[in-house]
Amino acid sequence: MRYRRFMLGFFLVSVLFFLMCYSSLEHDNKDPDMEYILENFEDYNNTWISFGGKVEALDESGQEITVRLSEPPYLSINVGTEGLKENPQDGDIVEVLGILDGKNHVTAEEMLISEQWKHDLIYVRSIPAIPFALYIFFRRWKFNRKTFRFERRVRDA
Amino acid sequence: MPDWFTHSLVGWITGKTTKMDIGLVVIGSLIPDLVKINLAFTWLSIDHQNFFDPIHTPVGAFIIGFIIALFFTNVKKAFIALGVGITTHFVLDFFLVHVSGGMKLLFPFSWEKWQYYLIQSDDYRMTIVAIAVALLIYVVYWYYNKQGRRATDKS
Repeated sequence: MRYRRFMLGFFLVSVLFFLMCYSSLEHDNKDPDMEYILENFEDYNNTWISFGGKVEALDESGQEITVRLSEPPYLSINVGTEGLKENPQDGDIVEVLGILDGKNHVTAEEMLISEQWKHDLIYVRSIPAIPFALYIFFRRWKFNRKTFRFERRVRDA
Repeated sequence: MPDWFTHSLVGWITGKTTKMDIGLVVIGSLIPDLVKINLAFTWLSIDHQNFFDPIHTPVGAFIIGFIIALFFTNVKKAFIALGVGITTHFVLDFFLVHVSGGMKLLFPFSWEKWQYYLIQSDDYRMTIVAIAVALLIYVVYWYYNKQGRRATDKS
């Protein structure tokens, strides 16, 4: 029985590993990230792209912002915001959907803005979840090293 | 993603109201966000090439749930509780707003992303609502348990 579980576990880990390798190998073709897009600029010129980052600078006309990418290669991209209702401020976290029309330029068609403090608060709010989940779980279960299984605590059994 | 606390509270609420194993449902509700392990690699400047992305897809999360369930005597029961938790995670994430994209619900058969644009991920009101509902359910269960104990004592 234990042997069967081990084999099943090994099989599942292998399937997961295979899916991860598939994701890693096919990602550039199916769902390219900004690093790949910028490296292969000619292929993606004048196409729709989306990315996220932090607003680093606003020009005086208010129609152009500079966004530092939140993913590799962490470059600064100039984003044209003409015609957008949204009004990003310096330091805001933004998601941009637009047309790549220059090596380092995107004309935004849609933008989602999150103030820096609100964005950071997501991570702050996440911290209590770890002790909460561990407390709830280990209140009912304990790990038996001999059988290598989780067992219900006696008062709960 | 909504924050982990909201995910775990919704897991707790689901486990409590469906009378499933709360601990396993809560753990299940956090499994898809194991994908955040990629942040450690990014921080260490190791190029992970989206290797961990399948963890935040239903197929990847359920496989991890199954692997965890193998460490329990009743694998089926443990897997169902973990699976319910995983499902609550994807239901919550499904309603998040993004400018494009969403979740690859049919990966590896399709790379298409799905999303119902409703709640912005930084909206803390979602957490407040989850805390309020969890407190309400806690008080209701506490009250009925107390009433039940009183009735047993009298008889």
